[in-house]
Amino acid sequence: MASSIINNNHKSSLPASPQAHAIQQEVLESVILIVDDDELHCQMISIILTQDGFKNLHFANDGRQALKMAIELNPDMIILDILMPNIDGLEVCRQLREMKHFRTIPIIAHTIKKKPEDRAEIYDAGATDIFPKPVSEREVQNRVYMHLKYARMVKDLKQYHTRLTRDLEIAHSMQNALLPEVSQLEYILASHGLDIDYHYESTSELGGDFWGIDVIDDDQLLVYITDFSGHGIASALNTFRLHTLISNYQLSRLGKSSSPAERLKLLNRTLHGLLPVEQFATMLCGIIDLKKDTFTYASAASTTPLKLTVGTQEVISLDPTGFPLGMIADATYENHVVPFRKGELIFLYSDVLTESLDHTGQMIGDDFFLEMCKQTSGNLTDDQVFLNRLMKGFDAKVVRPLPDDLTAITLKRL
Amino acid sequence: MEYQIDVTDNKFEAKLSEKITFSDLDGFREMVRRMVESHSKDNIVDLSDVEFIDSAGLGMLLLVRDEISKISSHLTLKSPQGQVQRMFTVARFDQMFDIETG
Repeated sequence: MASSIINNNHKSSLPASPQAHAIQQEVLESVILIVDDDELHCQMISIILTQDGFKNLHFANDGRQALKMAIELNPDMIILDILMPNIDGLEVCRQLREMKHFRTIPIIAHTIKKKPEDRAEIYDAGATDIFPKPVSEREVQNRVYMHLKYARMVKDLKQYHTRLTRDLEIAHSMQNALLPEVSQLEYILASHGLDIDYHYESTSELGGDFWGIDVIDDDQLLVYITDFSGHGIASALNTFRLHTLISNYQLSRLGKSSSPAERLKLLNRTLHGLLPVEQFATMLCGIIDLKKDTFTYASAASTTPLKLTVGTQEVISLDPTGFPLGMIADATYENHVVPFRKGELIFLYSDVLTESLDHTGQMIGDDFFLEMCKQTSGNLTDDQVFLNRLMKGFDAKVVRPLPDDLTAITLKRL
Repeated sequence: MEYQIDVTDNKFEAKLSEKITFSDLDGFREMVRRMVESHSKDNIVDLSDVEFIDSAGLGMLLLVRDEISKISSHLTLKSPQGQVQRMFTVARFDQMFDIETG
């Protein structure tokens, strides 16, 4: 047979990049199983592929041997004759495709069958491609290379996807670790008579939500909720930045005595130096004073905080106005003081509660959300759990998956 | 988000519509690029047909503000409505942008 080497596209010039070169080397090391009852055909393909630089060629003479060798060798590609004694190529193909391991490897039928219905049957059996007999040197080289390269790229992509999924899961659990622990909430319930309920749901993407509560002294507690603009990795990394800033500030000498507005001012100034222009965080920061029966808060464009008494329809919207954190260098914030007495509840939440879509495609919106809170509270007795009931109503209303992380916290004075 | 651009002597006006959210970042950057390349003295972002903006969308407006100030041109946000108007109030955008109401 003719043995002149034909320059193929993939070998005619130097690879475009080191990466392309690496792929070419890997492709040439692929394990290829060639199945044909005609020894001569096996040899012809072998010569063609050897010329091309393939080294790992193996041969089977019938269907039974092909199945056995496929399992033993775990090849990267199978070139398969169709008309063979014992088990024919169609059956080999079907049986291989039933095995999980061989579901996606390229199987190329090598056959004299030319009729469209025969070709359709071969594809139905699971073949990736068909080489017509008699063999064409250039076609075999090009298509073998193309299918192996493609399979290699799909494999890389799957590995990348698996790695990324695992990384995202780790990042999720790290973000979860920023949230207060149950033991801390139980401690605050016992020490300060503040009953804290919270609901947190993360999306498949990384979000930028978190919240925290800290004991300032026997009478005062600091609470905050924050959300970074956008989502994804940048937003998630920013939550760690901000968490570190908040923690450091808490530990500093100033940390104990600052007002919410002073805290926001400082966080804003630091974040402004760190963040790119289009990124920012919204935040609500408040101090609960049990002795004075007050809630003093400052807002950096947070969602509207609500204050209510469970069992009544009286729900008060607090003022969320204020520059988002990181937007302008010298922003200042305003402290607001509202009464916060025993029996009252403060509700803080992330914007997904008002920005989710309902079953008709309408956004829930601030007004409807406020109405939902009023109705929920009005329909409860004062010892029932507000947040639980509200989330049930929300679940019945919205279409999932949610567009962003969900954080909802209620702080009830007992 | 959809947008239409109208350029007349020294005025670049982009009329945005629908929603401005996280997923519009690429389209928005493209719009900003065209605005900057037009070298117009007056740049207007018409928001009258925008029904919703999320926090990422606010971030994009900050991006335009930044790009336009770099080339010493002027930027006006025109006619925010409904939820967009509320977001502007909450985030104090009136103190950071020239906003033309109407």
